Amino acid sequence: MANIIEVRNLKKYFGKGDKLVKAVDGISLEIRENEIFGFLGPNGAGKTTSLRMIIGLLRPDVGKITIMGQDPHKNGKELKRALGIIPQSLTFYDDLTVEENLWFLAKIYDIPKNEARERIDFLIARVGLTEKRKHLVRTLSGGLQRRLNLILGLIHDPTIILCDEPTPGLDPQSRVAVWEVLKDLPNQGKTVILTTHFMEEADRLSDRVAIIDQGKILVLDTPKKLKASIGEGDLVEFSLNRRDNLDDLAKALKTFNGIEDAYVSSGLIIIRALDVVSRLTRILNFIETQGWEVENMSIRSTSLEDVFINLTGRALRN
Amino acid sequence: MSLKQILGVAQRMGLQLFRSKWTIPYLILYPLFFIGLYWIGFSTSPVGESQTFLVGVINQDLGLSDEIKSLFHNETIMGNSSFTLYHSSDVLDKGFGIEFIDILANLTYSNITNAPHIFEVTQFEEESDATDKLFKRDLDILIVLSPNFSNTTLSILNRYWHNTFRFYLHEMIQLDFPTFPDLPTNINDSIRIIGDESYFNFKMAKSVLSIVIHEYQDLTTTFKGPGGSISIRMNKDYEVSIPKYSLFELSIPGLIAFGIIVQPSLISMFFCMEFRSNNTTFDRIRLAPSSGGVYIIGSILVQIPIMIGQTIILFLTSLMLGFNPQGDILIGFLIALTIFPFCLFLVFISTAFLSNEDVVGNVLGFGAPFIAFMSGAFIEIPKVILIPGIFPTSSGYPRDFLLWDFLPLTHTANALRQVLLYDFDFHLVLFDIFMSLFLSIIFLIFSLIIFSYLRFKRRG
Ligand SMILES: Nc1ncnc2c1ncn2[C@@H]1O[C@H](COP(=O)(O)OP(=O)(O)OP(=O)(O)O)[C@@H](O)[C@H]1O
Ligand SMILES: [Mg+2]
Repeated sequence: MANIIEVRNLKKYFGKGDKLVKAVDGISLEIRENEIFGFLGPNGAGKTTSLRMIIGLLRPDVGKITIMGQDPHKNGKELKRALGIIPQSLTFYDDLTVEENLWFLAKIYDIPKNEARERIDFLIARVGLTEKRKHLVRTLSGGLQRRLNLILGLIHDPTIILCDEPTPGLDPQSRVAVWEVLKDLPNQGKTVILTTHFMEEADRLSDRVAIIDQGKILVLDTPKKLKASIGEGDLVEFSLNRRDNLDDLAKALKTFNGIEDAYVSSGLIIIRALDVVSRLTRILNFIETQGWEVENMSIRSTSLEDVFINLTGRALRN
Repeated sequence: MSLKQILGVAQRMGLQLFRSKWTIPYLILYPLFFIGLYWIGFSTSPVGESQTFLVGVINQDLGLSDEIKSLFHNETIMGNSSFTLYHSSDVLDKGFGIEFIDILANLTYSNITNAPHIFEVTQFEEESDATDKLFKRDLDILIVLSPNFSNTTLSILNRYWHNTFRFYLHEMIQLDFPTFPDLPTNINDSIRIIGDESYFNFKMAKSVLSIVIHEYQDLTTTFKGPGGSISIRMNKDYEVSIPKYSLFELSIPGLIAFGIIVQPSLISMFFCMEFRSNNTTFDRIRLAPSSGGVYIIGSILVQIPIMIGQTIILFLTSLMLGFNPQGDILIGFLIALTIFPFCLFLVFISTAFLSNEDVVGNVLGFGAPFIAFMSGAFIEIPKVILIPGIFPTSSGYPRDFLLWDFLPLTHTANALRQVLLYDFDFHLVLFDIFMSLFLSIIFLIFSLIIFSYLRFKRRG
């Protein structure tokens, strides 16, 4: 597959002296046609800043960006028509109706009237806003506003969609609705860049993921390979009655036969092991003999969260 | 840039403004309230009802041409009983200039008993003597009657004589009435008015004088008489009625000027919401394949009708509250339009820098009255000369560039005052109208450059 976007050594610093923030600190990557590319990273990792530079809203300090062979900072009309953005913040006029917001953008993009009408009907139906199309946006619930925010970026049928945190604060139903729209885009020949600090979102949607922290890309690969990279086995999380000296406990558990890894994250003891169920009794016994009580326990397979913890020693959500 | 895009922007902003709960009160009630307040305060205080102006006169009038004089001394003509001239032979011999000066010196305010004379006339030989006094403000105004003053005056009669008098001369006594080639047909053109354009007394004297000249010309051109007789009345005892205004009325032109430049603050407050730092809505416009021009023109399309509407309301309110303009209200309205580009300037310059509607509201809330004050919309402000004598005037004495001349509103307020209150001839206010429009547009262009740079070009 051809590269549709190429980014070389992108940097953006904010502030000076003590207050210097290296928001983006030397990012290079290629994004391929028809893929969903995920940026996964904690708050302040530099995801939005990167995206704003890529789309041409923010000038990089250093670095080169090429989208479909063009520089997005050159204001080419063709390129502008090809790019669609779904910003992190809700971006519409809340004193206009759903429909009026869409019509406004359709006109700004100079879309012929009939085409615009079809497109608006289609998009409104796609995210289930049909009943609300004549309502003022400010009277809509947060979830419905998010959905509008999503389709506003798609009104001109862009080839490349840059989607910055599409689902914060959404209920599961709305979230799935948004995911379905995004997931379907590559089938229509679109390329999507997605940022999120939500590992499940990155995992479910992305063909490839770049894990980013403090302005740097830590790893970049398919979710599957990233998860495989930290080793095999499933995970058990224990929530214990006391939180002191958990590190010692983890260290002790790590020496157990068959346990690949054991560590503490967000006050939980996490153990990775092959065939973890058969070893549970032994582990539980050990914990209790050490003077802890298990309050809660869950078993799951490895996630991108674990990849992040493995790389940084911190959780995605602090 | 396409029409569809521009209309898209205009329609969107129009809808938003229409839905804003502030729009109706602000757009309609505000101007009403504003003028109303002044009306309550000042509608009953009369001002300037018996001021005497110090007038210098230089009479260069050469009188009538000998050819004409001989006509009036022609026994055949003057002996004809069907024809009467109300001129003394003295006037005909010495010229109309003398008569005109006489009229000036004897004018009184018609509506006051025992009122002082309107003008205290001093005659000068040398123009430099007079201008010395003028610029020391020992004189309010200087009038120079040009050498052809009499001939001009008569040529105005001549227009009416063409059909009757000429015919009479020609047919009855085989005489030709001399023609006056290329003489101006407006007395104003043979009177030069000199003064300090920035001095209020001068402006007042000039406006009163313009009424006098107007009347003089009217009298000169009035002829009546039964049958074939022609009588030309030139009565030097006539009285001029000079419009008497209350303080409220005198303030109206300034108030209208001020009212117009206050209006942009609502629009600015409304526009700047688009640029709030936590509002990325504008990014969508920046990312669309539309230039800043689309946004700018679209927003101007929305602003112009609002400004026109408010200006109409300002004028109507003034009229309803008893303002009785001498001049043409329509010309006043056209003059008001010249400040619109400056209003747009206020909107674009404030929204180029500010992204918080409260701040914009405060800045323009204090800024607009300040600009109006400095433009002399409320009271005469002291004279601060920046560049002496750079503007040409009809009098030949160039006018100084004053500190606040660079504000277009100075000129708008002047032109409005001169037209609405004193019915100045259009060509006398042309300079102010031009300056108002010209400066306004310069300001607008400047703001558009800054606006498009800060809001469209600059990134990160
Ligand atoms: N305009 C700015 N001025 C100063 N600092 C900024 C600016 N924009 C971003 N930053 C800083 O740059 C860093 C990266 O911010 P960015 O918004 O790119 O993070 P993010 O990965 O999108 O985070 P989030 O998940 O919270 O959206 C942060 O520390 C932020 O405070
Ligand atoms: Mg972000």
